[in-house]
Amino acid sequence: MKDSFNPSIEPPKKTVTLVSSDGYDFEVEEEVALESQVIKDGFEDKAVDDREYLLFNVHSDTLELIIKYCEKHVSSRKSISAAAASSSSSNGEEALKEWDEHFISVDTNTLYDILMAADYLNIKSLLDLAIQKVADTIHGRSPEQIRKKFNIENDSIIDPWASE
Amino acid sequence: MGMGKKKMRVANNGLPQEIIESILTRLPVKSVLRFRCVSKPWRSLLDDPVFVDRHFTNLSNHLNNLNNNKKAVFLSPHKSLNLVDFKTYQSRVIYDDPLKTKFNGINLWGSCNGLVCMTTKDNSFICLWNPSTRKRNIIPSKSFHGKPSRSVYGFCSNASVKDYEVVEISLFLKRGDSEVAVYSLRRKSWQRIQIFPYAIRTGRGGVIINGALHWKAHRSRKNGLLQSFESVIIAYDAGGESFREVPYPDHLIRSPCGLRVATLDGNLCVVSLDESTFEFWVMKEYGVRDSWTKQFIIGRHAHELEVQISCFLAPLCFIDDGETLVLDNGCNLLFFELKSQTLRRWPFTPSQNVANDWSKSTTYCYETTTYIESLVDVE
Repeated sequence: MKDSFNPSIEPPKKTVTLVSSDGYDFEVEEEVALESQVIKDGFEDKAVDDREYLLFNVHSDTLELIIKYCEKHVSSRKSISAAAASSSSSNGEEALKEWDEHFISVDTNTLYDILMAADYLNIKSLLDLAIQKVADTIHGRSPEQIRKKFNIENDSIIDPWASE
Repeated sequence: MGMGKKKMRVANNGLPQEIIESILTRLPVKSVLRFRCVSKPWRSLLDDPVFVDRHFTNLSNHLNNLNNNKKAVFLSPHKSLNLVDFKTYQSRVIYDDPLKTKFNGINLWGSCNGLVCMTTKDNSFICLWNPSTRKRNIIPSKSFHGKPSRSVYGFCSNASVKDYEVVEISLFLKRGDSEVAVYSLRRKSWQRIQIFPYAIRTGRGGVIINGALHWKAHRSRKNGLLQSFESVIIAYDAGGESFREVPYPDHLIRSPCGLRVATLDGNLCVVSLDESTFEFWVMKEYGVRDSWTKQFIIGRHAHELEVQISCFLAPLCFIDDGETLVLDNGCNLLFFELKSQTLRRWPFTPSQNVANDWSKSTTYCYETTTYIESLVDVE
């Protein structure tokens, strides 16, 4: 026990281990992992020394992004509430929005991976962000482009309302 | 961590059904309508009332965050109905003609959740219409004992039971009273409202504030043989069986000029004319008499514009992040810039026929209502 020798520094933060589908370990702070509702729901039932989660559906590349997102949101929330407590003006929420927008501006495959992982881990704000992003990228497409994008067979119906 | 989910794919790119559904609920109305022909499963999904509901919920949350997404439907005397987009300052003529009168003989009464309420000039047909989906529903007219001298209407939603209601207030001059009836879209029937000791002298549709319809009215008071009238604002709560009164600004009760009741940023507003100054009174706290506040005035300088300000001036909505107020001037639209306190006219290029319409100072009255696009069903 390191901290018993060195009581002046902060106690080490509690961590949990997330294991990606391709077998990589990610050690993250507890509060970061708890951004996932799924982890949060099962958290109390788990023994303290067994806080390891096997995420069979999340590849390490995606998991890295997800952790980055959760870390950012945990720290931003803290600084926003700190600013509110000291009643100093802060554009924290604006800045976080911008960060989110930048974060989610990724190629289609990565976007889908994030979307699926956010759904699997039940991280609502990230799921909302990813869903809105997909909606924003497809809203101007033609039905044919949509069929291609979502691999949908054309069952040829003629729609009188389809005209612009 | 079992997250087993039913997978009835409407697409084949790995995204599960419910995620695709969620994506589609975030699309603009126009895109949803366009994507109805992607495939049969998509069409039945997008037409599903549950989807329409979710889509509308997302849309209203989104609109609450955006001050700039306002639109208006504008009926011009030149037989056209126009849709004005205050975000782009573009307008387009709506060719769809649900009452088949070539817009020559209709009254526009208001709009709620993307549905527009209109009647034929003689009020024999009432039509609810969604200009986006082009669906219409013609409501059977109420049969009265005798022909009313005139009628006004209001259209509102009863959100708690997912209903829409049309309120019809008909004045019988000879009998000296009014009859009021409410049509429920859900029940598909009319219901009388028994007690209505008011007379409505406006020809305008009810104004929606906090979900209730508001009109300016007169309360008649019999004092022996004499009958006196007092100005009041009356309100009808959706699903209700009676009207209630909302406190009027004290000093305006006996004001002789034609005040218009309107909504300003979700608050009840009346516009009064004092000599040549328009005063915009806002009820800051709904229902509280003392909260009537003079929000701003439009003074004499405005009269120097070529365009005449009509005595029916009323606020329509804020645009440009609340920096500009769009005003319905009875015969055109005006823009009041709050910072510089200046009035502007419609800033359109002359090639647009609508702009031409509006630049002519006609004596006809236009009718205007704010509007949002939605997929909400008219049935």
